[in-house]
Amino acid sequence: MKQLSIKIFVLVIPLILGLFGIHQNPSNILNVDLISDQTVYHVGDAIRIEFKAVELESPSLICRSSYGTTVLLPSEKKESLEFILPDFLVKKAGTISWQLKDGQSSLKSGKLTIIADQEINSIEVYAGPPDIVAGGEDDAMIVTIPLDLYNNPVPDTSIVTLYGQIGNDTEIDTLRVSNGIAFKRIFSPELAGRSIYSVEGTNASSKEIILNINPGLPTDFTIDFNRPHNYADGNQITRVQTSIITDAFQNIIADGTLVEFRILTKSGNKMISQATTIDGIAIAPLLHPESNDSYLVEAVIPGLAKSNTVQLEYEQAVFDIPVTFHENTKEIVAGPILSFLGQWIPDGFRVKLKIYQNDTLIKTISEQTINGRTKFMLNDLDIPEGKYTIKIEAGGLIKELKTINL
Amino acid sequence: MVNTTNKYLISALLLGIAFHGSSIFFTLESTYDALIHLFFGNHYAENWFEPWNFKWYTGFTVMSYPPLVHQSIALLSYIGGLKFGLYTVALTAVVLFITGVYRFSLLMTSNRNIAGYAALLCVFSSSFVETLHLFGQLPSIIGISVLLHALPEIYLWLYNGKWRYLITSLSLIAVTVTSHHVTPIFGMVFFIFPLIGMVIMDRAKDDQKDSDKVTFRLFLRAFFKLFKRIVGFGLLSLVLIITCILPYWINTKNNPITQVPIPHGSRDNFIEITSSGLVFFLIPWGILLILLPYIFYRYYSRRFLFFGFSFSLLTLLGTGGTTPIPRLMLGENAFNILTLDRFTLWASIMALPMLGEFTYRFVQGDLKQILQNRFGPVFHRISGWLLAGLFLFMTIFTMSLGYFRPAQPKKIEMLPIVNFLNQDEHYKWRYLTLGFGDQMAWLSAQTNALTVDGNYHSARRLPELTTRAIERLENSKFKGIEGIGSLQQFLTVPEKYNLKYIFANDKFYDPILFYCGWQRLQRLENGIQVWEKINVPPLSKILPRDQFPRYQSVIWGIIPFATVILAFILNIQMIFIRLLKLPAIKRPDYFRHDLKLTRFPKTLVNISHAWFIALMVMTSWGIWQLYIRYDAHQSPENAILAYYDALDFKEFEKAHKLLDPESGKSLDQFMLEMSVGDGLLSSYAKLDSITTTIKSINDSAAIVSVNGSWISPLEQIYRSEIKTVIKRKNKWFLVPEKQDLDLPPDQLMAGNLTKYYNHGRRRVTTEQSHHEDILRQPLVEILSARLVKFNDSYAVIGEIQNIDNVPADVIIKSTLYNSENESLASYNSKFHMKHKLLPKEVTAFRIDFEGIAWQSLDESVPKTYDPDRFTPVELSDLPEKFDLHCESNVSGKELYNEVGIYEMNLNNQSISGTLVNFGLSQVTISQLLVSYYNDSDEIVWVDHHFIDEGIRQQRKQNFDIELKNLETLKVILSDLSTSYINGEQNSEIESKTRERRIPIDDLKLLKPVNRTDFSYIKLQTNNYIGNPK
Repeated sequence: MKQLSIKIFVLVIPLILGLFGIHQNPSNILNVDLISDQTVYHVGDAIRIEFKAVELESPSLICRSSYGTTVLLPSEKKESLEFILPDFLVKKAGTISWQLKDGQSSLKSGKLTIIADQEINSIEVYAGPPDIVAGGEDDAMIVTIPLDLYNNPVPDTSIVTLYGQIGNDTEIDTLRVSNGIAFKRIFSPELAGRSIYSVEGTNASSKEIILNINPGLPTDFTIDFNRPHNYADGNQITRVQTSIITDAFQNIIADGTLVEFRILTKSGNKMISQATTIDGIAIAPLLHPESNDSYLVEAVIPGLAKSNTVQLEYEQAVFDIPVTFHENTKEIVAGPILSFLGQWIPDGFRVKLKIYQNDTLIKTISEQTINGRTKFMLNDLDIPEGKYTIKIEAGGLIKELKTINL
Repeated sequence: MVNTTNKYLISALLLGIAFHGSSIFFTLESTYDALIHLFFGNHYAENWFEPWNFKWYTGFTVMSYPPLVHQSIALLSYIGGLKFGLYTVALTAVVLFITGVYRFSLLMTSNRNIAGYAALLCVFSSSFVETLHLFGQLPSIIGISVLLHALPEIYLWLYNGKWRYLITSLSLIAVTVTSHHVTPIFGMVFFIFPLIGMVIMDRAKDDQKDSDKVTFRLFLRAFFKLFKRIVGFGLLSLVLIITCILPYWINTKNNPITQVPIPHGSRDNFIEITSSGLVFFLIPWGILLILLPYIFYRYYSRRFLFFGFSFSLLTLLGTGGTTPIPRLMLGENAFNILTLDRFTLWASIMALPMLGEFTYRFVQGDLKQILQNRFGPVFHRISGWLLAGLFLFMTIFTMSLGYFRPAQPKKIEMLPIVNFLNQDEHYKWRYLTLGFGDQMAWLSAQTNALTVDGNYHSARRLPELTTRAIERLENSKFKGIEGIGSLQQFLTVPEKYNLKYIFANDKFYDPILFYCGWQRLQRLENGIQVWEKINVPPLSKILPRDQFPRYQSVIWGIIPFATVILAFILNIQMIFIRLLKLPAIKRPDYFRHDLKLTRFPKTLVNISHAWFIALMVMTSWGIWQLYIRYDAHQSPENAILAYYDALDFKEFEKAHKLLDPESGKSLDQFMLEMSVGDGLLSSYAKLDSITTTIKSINDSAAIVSVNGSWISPLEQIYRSEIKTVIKRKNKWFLVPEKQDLDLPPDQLMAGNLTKYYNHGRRRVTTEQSHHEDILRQPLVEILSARLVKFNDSYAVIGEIQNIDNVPADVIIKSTLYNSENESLASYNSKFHMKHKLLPKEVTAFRIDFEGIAWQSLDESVPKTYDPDRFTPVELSDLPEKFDLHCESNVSGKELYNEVGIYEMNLNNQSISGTLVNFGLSQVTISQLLVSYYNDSDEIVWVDHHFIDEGIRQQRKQNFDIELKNLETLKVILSDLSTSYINGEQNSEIESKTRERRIPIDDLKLLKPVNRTDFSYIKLQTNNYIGNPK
């Protein structure tokens, strides 16, 4: 502790001495009297710094302002030494420190203060972030900079008024300028939508400020479905539809939100379908299976919300696969396969033919029906001659042809 | 003696200017090189003394190529624009070449008629036509032409030692050097050395007045007599070669070419690769091939003995990789750097005087006599027509080669691209062209914007480019793995190069752009697709460059033109004397050595006939071989190969002709089936290789197994299919495939979609975007992140979710650190993620740390193509930590998500299933992202799989994916604390959703499998729409 105070002493003393040294130097050399003794000016006022006439070789006035350093030369005046501050300096609020110099030597120095106008002439506003989430946790900030005629921030304690239109409500607030700015944190309302704000000063208005209030995270929802029929014909589409998905404050979630639909089939296989919401509703299509099945369907917004589970039952549409084997042409015709009304099953129904030799599967061929039928040409198969067992599978049914000579 | 006008020379000049002058307008711009020279010309036109060019690569120096031709273009461009400059220089080259050949022939044959014939023939010489109209090598032509002009001067200096000739010859050598650096160096060896030999011969002969025989002793004596002149000339030329383009040599020494050798057709085996043989052997030789016996006979006569050696050497070197001799002679290094076609060009030019002489003797000389006496006048006339016909055929064939087999894509209208780059400050980023061919140089000349690519590969500096044997990124698809690999590095980490815009003239590259996270911006009116990458910073105001001493810039800017002016002043006197036929001229000394062309040797006639017949037999055999190889119905294999080939080139009518005519598949039906197919395989892949094995065959049918491999921008595709081929009327035909019979349920579909549009600047202004016009970056959250080691390479994997209300374009970058927190490597995610996320969408991601392939020279470059091949970066230490930086921006594009995954069936080895497209667009390529989870629901690996065939609306596509063996996978670190989203800590964002998170539901995961290395997998689709409507 002792050591520290010694250190401070050692550091501070020279500093103080140094400061004295700087201050004392100029005024001692030549006594120049300042005529104009006003030190506080109003912004825009003409400023003259006048000294009693002294014969100086090359007088100049060095002005340091927030714009930087400017060197002024005296105006042509016999009786006194007069410096007129240029326009750009007198329009800028703040402090100007000046120093009168003759050649290299400083003669006198001083300070001026220029005070900004109380009257607000224009208002700069900034708001951000431009969109926030409804519910009161998220917030945006509106920052205003009221300015006088010459674009100086108005002095502290000036007052501006903030107007807000949030939904159907109007909000008015008074903001006090501090350190050149006035600001307000705006916490999001519960209702999503668009809030509009403006700021008004004594003589000026701001531009329009827009804050978008977005819906928050989705909450759980329900799903339902509709379908043309409940047969497993492999051709129709069942549409699974969500209820209107909202956030915790009943705001409909943003359009385009992805909802994933997960389906568990009777045999334990999984399927995924997905859809995006419009007005909070997502509709996912589901292709009908080709054999009777029972789907458990659930929709989720990954990690954030989920629906109830819905069970979808599909009844068997095909009850028989007539199979004929033409010995001489080695041709198998499956069909006509008939659907639930006795009509041909729609084209593209898959029929699989599996060839077994001594109970081992040696070949699988997949074909599609046309006009309810499909043909398998066993001659083209490139398998050695012999006896085979053939199984034909379609719509969950299996037909077996035993000991076929190929 | 009164000089008469040489009417042959005058007609040659008139014909040459008329023929080449009118045809260059149709050929020059589609040559390989002309536009590059134009680009250089533009550089000098913009800033004559500036040695640095920012436009290509990341800046390069133009001191890497002799400047004369480029500066001439630049100078002329001030009069009538760049193209005016180019064409004027090309025409000058034509004139210089014809007069050069005339003077060279005159020197060799001492006969103005023969020289006139040679000048006339050189106008149509196939090698010259090829070099000018197919290759566009202007500096090379000007270089060799000026060298030809220098030869008589050199002869005269050496022969009679008049200082005037030394000065004129040196002045011309200087011009040669400043137009092309290789020409004088090799020209010394192949033209000037034999010339010196010839001068010594002549001198020795002149000294020995009484006898015609030059003995070795006499030769040696003459050599010592001329020794001073020879050495003097040699040394002074060497000084000129060095000083005239001094900055070039300094630059070559300071920046040695690090480029790995780029394959060039002139180094191929011409018998194996017939296309190279055609372009680099048959065409430049043309009719000279028939006259080879005569040329050799003449050049191996005593006077031209050294030309004989030189000619033989040039001929041999020009055969490239056909025999191992050129490689042995030049050495491995020089062989791989030089393009050997120049040797053939020089050989063919060296042969021109002899061609002229032969023609002279054939038309009006002793050969005519001999032929007419021996075989009668009809034979002479017929053979005359035959030779003339072949000669003209070669000329026309060469000229039209560029028309029938275009080496370049169709001419692209550049104005829309130039305008695009000028709009909205697009020039503040670098751009890249794809599929432009050499026209990219023309674009670069017109715009101030910079590209990462370039067309002068000797000047490249980026190791990503110099370590690869590719010419340009722009045509990388032709260079297999190296090309696509190089391109991928630029596409994956574009911010490193400030690369934001890509102009694609070839849809081949579209999928790779999409899967690397690029998005389509617009299609310009010239049909060029513009792609952009979000979140790439603009170029900084000051770009790094090399500094050059001022004296170099001054030398470079002044000397080349000074040499031309000097040469002009020095030679002008002679030119005027010759032109105006002023009487003062004395016949040059070389006229003393003309040969009396009276006795054409009989044996030579016989040998020539035999040679001609042999050539014809070889040609016929070659054609027959080609016929056998390509006749489609000849055998089952041929039928299959021709069918696949036709499909590859989209020649559907030809393919249909190969289908069994009795199958009843009409052309209309076939075309229809082809037109509805789309996908990686049918629209973006190029057949790479195909093998056929006949499994069974009898008289009427065959079953053939076909194994094909295709190159696609994304991966190599292997397919094996069984095809049945049937014989009908002794011709083999394919049995057509069955078509998809599935009927979609709906005739008309309706769907609703959310679309997005971002105004950019709402006010039409060039000012910076207004504060309120800047969109907030969407919030995304990293759900998990792990550093894993798998198969000796490291990867960062994890999952990321867009938790905002707007779609987000997401870029993830990861850096690896060692235990000392020193960064080891950094890379972006490439294929293994969805780059565009809808609100609340989750994607798995994987970041591989790629290095620059084959950076060490001893690493052998693989011969076969594999775009999937991956070069892990070499790490200096073991990575222990990582960070993740994620940038998200609003993007409303490429968001197609309406593909469902059905019938997923998982077993221990593979997962199969069906993709169903429920949406309103045809999915061209679907990518399946497969994420692997361990039994505590943690993601451990991410893999991807492309579906080769497209999925049409309401239709299905099956897939079957083999599962990875993750036994060797090791999770090194699982950490979210060093993850940042748009500069913000991930935990800050996570805190917004933390309370609302629900546990991962078991239902989304597939049935667990009985494996020890992972427990679950999850699938996700990422869809590319080739033609968004």
